[in-house]
Amino acid sequence: MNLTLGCKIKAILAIPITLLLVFGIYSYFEMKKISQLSEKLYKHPYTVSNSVRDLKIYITEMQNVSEKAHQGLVSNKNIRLVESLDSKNKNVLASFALIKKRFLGDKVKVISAEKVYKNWYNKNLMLIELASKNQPMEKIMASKLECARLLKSLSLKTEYLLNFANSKGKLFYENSKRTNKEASVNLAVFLFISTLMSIMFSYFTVGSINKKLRKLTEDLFSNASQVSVEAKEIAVSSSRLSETSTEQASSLQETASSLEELSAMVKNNVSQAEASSLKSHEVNSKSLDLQGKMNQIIKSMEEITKSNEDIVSLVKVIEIIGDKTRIIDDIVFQTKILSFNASVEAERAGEHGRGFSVVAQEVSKLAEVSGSSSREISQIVKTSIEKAKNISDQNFNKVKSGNEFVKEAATALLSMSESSSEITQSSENILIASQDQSEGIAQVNQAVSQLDQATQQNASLAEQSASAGAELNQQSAKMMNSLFDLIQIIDGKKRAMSKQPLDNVVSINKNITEEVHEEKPFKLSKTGTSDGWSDI
Amino acid sequence: MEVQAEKNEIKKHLVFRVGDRVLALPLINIFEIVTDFNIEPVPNSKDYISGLINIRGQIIKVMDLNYMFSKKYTEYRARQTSIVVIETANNNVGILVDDVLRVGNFLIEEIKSIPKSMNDRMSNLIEKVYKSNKSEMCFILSLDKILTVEDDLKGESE
Amino acid sequence: MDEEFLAELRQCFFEDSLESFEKTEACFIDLEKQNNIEENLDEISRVFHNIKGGAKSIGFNELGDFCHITEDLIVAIKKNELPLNSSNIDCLLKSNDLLKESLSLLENNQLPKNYFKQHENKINSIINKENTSGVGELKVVPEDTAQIQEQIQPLEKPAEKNININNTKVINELKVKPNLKTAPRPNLGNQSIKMPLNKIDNLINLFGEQSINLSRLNNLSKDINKDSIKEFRGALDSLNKLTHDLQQTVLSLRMIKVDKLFSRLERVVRETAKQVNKKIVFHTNGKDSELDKTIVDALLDPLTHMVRNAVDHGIESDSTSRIFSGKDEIGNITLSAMRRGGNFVIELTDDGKGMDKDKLVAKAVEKGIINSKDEIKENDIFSLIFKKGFSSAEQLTDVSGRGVGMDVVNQMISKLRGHCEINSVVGEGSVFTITLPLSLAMINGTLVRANQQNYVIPNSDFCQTAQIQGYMIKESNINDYCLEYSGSVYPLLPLHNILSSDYNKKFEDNNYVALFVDYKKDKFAILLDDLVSQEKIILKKVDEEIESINGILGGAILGDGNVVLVLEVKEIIENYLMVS
Repeated sequence: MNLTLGCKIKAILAIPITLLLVFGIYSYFEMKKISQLSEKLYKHPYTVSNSVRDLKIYITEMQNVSEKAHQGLVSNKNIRLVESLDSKNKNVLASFALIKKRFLGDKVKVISAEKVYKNWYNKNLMLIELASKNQPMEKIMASKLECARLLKSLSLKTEYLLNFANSKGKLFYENSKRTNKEASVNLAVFLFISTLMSIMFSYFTVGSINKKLRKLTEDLFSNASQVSVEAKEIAVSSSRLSETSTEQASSLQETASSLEELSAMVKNNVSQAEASSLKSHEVNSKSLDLQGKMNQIIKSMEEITKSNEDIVSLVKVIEIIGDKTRIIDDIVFQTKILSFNASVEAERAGEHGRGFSVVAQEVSKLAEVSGSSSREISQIVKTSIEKAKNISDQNFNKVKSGNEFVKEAATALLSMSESSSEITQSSENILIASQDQSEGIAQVNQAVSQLDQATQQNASLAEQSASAGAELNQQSAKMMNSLFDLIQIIDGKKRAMSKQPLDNVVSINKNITEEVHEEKPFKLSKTGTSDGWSDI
Repeated sequence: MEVQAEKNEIKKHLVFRVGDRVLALPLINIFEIVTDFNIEPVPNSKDYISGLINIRGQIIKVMDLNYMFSKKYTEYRARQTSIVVIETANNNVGILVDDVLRVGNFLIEEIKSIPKSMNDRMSNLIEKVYKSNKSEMCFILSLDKILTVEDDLKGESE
Repeated sequence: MDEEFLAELRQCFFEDSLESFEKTEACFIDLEKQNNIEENLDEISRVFHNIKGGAKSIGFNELGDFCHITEDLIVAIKKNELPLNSSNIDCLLKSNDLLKESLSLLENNQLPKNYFKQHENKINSIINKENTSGVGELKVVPEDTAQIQEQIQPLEKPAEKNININNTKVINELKVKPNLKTAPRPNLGNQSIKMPLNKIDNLINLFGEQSINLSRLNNLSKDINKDSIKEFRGALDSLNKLTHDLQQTVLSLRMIKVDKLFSRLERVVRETAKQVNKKIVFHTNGKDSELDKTIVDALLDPLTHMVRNAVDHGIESDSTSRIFSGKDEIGNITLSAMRRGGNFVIELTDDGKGMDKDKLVAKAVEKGIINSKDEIKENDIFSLIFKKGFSSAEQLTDVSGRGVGMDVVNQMISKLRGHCEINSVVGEGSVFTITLPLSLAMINGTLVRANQQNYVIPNSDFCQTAQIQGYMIKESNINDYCLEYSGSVYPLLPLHNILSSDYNKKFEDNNYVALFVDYKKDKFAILLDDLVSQEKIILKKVDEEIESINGILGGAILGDGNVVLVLEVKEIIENYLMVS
């Protein structure tokens, strides 16, 4: 039932009211019904019966009159009689009209009755007339009989009408009685039920409200008690906070001092890095120098190689000489063979060839001499080539080893310069890193001071919270008390819980706040730059 | 009628080296000495036949003297190995020699015949020897034997 | 007298005399036919007179004397003191023979004493007899003019000159063993040849042109530029043509007419016919055809043998059987020589009894040459007579000292790169056809390559070449290969295997060249590595030892001066068939 309490209460109130209203309306209607009925009763059957009665009266009167008229017959009374008849007739007719109006049954009956009446009247009149005129008594008697018959029928009809009306009236009366009875029963029932209902409803609602209230109060109570507990705790933690703030402050101090140390170290690093950077620059330039010198060495080696190549080309020239010598050798050989062939031919020529054979021999000798000289040249060439080759090989080797050495030195230099550039690089990196470091330290410093501030704040906050806690406690105690009152209202008795004494709470709070206040004097100075460290 | 240089009692010989031996042939029998040659081998020919060469339009058979002596083929060395062409009635025949040394004037009295008791292959081809006062010595080949060597060697191989 | 000069004289004498005696022999034979008696007799006597003089001047006195005596006989006949009958002519012919033989003997200093004695006595006896008898008979038989025209005598034209082509090297120290394996080689060293003067003039002219062209080329070579290349080509072309013409002319120098040969053969016929007592007429055709001297000389022996055979075995002994068969009583042997296509064809025909195939086969079986009739093909039966061992031993006539059988004949003909075909019909006669290549020297050949060596195969030896792949070669037997090419299978002779006796070479799936050869109606394929080029080569004889190697015909020199072997395809195939 999530309705508000107001709603509930409204409901509690509204329902009976509504019920009452309902009853009222019901009863009103019932009353009306009854009145209607009564009216109806009155209107119709009563009226009818009245009217019928009137009728009857009238008729009777009329009859009387008529009779009188019949008897007395002439006089002036007759005229009056007739007039009274006439007025009564009017009344009858009016009654008939009224009956007609109000008759609940078959209107034909009325009409027929009326007709009959009218017949009677007419007949009556006629009779009078007749009487007056002194008519034959038979006609008069016939007419009288007729009138009597008519009158009888009329009275029958009227009687019927009357009965009808009476029955109707009885009916209506019964109805209304019944209705009345019913209504009253209903009403009673309604009343009973509604009463019951409202009682139940209110019981429930109020009960639930009550329950809820109780629950709430209990909750409140527990909350309140919790609150007070927590208020205590707050107090405690505030004090603790205070403590820790103090601790924090002290550690902050430590941090600050180590930061200072760090900063000093960083500074040192920086200076070292700068120094090493300088040194490595020096090394670089020196190695460049050295490289230049190496290039010179290489150049001179190249020159040596060139001269070696010259030697090689010289060797080639010598080899060409050797080749030419080979050609000479070929020629020598061919000459030799030619000389042999010449000898052969000379021999063949026999006597004539003798001179020629001498020539051939000489040629052979010449060939031999050339041959040996050519061999000598060959040998010389060979040895010179060997020597030259040796020299050039030696040179080549020397140059080669020189080259290798240069290469090694070059590579060493290269690695050196690489390392030195690495050093430079590293120094720069160190510098940058140191700068970052200082920045970092500064930031840390800042952070530390912020921390300090925060700590301070913490401390004051702690103080505040302590006091707030105390206050809270107090308030909770008060609340507890109010609560008890409420419970009392609800339950109507005092609960078992005792009212909280407010004092304890207050005292605790006081302690806390005192503590907090004591720790205040320490303050951290703020430093923005590394130079500021020196202040401390 | 035979033509011999009897007047000076000198018979000219061509001295040449075959393998380790120094041999000689009468100059008269020599047609030519050829140093620049291209030997065309003949398949299915005897082993001692190196092949054929062309001398001014004449096709001449070349025999490997070294092989005939020592069953080893002559190694070609430029400006040393030569072919000595021997004149025959029908066709000239060449022999492959390792080195042509000189033309020697052999005194006839210093040319002696060899006894046939020597049993090696050489003796088949040599019939005379020349020994000079200066204690030069060389064997003089027998032309007939050389030219008819096929039969002799055939006999051998069979 | 100077030795050398003397030797030259003698050489001249020998040559001239030989020729003269050949001439006189022809004259004698002519005389026998009773042709031109007067002229012949004059000629003969004149010749003998000259020879006598010559012989005496050199110192061949015996020869001279004998000539004299023979001359006497001739004079006697001329004077009609003696009849011109066959016995006398026989006698004269015998003298002629003796004289001829004595020449070669004299050359080698082997003329025995009293060589002529016997015959001298005979002649003397004839002369003396006749002198006593008185008048001789002279038979003059009228001749057909056609026959006369047929036998035109080779008269010595006045314009002819003797030219000695003499390789005068006196090599007397060498003793050359006569090599009987092959035909007696013409001793080029001491021969001379007569030739018409116009040939010489032609040659001189051509050489003159040659040198002009050469100098032209030399001049051109001095300044070579683009324009001169055209001229170069022109000069080269004319040089080529010139060289070709020279070649032809030079070759033709060696050509001689076959008339002398024919005359000799006629003599043979005469003698042999006498010996076997048959009447035979010897016809000749194409006496004036020219053939290389060496060939002509080489043909003498084979033809002689064949002619003898024809006379001896060919013509029937019994003339009556001849008449019965409807032939003439006198047997006919015809020798024709003609050029046929690129070949020189010599046909020896006889109208004798022919050769019976069955008898030949039977004889072959008997001699053990073949085992049965089935081994030999129909077409090869006649060739049986060429087989070694199939000698005419059964026939009882003596083969007068030539030492040749038909197989040797065949060999000799093969040596000349010719072949001999035999056709015979029993009862009608036989025809021997010898086909020789016209030009022994210049051959159109194909330079081929096998086993990294080059060889030349004469174009006339094969009929087709084709490029083949390794997969086409199948092994039909161990080391026996065959070639599948365009649907047919040919027996394959791998040249490198055969030449190097290395039979184990495997064939990779490379490209090879196959040479198709017709041999006795079969086709063989020879496998080569490559065809290199077409060459016009001059076939040169090489050492016998080399030539005796199977498949080697001779040698040739290529344009680059290198020697190349020329192969004999026929030998290769025959060897292959023998081996397998």
